[in-house]
Amino acid sequence: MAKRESKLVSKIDINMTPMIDVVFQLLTFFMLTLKTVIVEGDFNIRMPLGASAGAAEEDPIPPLILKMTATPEGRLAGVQMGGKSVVGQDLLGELASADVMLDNALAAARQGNKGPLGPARRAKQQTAEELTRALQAQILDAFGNDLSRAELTELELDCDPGLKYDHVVSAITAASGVIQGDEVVPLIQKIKFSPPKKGK
Amino acid sequence: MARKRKSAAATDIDMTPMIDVTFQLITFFMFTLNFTEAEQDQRIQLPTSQVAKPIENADIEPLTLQLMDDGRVIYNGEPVALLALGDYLENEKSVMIAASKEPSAATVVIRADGRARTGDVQQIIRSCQEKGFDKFTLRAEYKGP
Repeated sequence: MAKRESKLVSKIDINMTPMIDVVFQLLTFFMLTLKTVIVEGDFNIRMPLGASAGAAEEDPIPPLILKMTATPEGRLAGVQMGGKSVVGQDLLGELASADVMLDNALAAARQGNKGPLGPARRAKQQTAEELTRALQAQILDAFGNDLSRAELTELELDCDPGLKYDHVVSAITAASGVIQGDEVVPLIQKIKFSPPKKGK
Repeated sequence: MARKRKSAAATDIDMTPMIDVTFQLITFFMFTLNFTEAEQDQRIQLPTSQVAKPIENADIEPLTLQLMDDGRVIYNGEPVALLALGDYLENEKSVMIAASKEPSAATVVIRADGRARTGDVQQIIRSCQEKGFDKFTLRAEYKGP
């Protein structure tokens, strides 16, 4: 009697080995195909086909023109809004030194030395955020307290062609929304680049 | 004899917790698996922004152009010169017209490196406009507040 019972029990005992093999195969597959996804976002820009031909649009509200100049190396040399400079020299200096730091770190990373890349990226992002804040203060100032007017206004970016693109994104960030608490209050939604100058 | 049997039973490990954990891991990795290929290229370091809108209209077929910091454009995974982009866009346009769609129905997604020249970004936009593409979005890395 006792003998029979023990035989029965050993029959139910499943061999786990193949299942564990397969499970680990799957685990390895999914682990290797894992990619860390960077969260991305979009800025819609309005570049209608006719605009480059110089079709004059009759907008009731004049566009806000942000003129961004560049040094020969592509660093930000100044930002003008309505003819007056809106970014201080000390911030421009910080931006330039963060750019130099990142350039050096990237050059070092190409030679296999990844050490200074992380701090350089952080410094770069910090100065970019400072630029955004500085520009945003000026843009909010230009609208007073009437944020609804901002949504009807168009932002025109007049940039030197050599300017590094991330400064432009900082400016677009500053113009397109204000962060209040946890939510983003939209500002200017219509963004375009100035047509290229005829002289160049 | 009886003693020997007992020691054999002691080496028998309980598999249940390990299998539990392993299945948890598999489930996690399965859900984090994303099928969007080639969209995020390691050669591009996007500029960061705190207010970039989350990507919408994922159903509309986008035309993604990625600008590297040396001024070349990654089109279909291959770096091509900026000036040669017009020919590729012409192809893209004829493909769309063959599918009886207007080029203006497509959205051109520009993923430009933060260190690229703004003039090159504008050049891409101009090349696209010449071929009839007129909807553009600039992509940035979202760094939330």
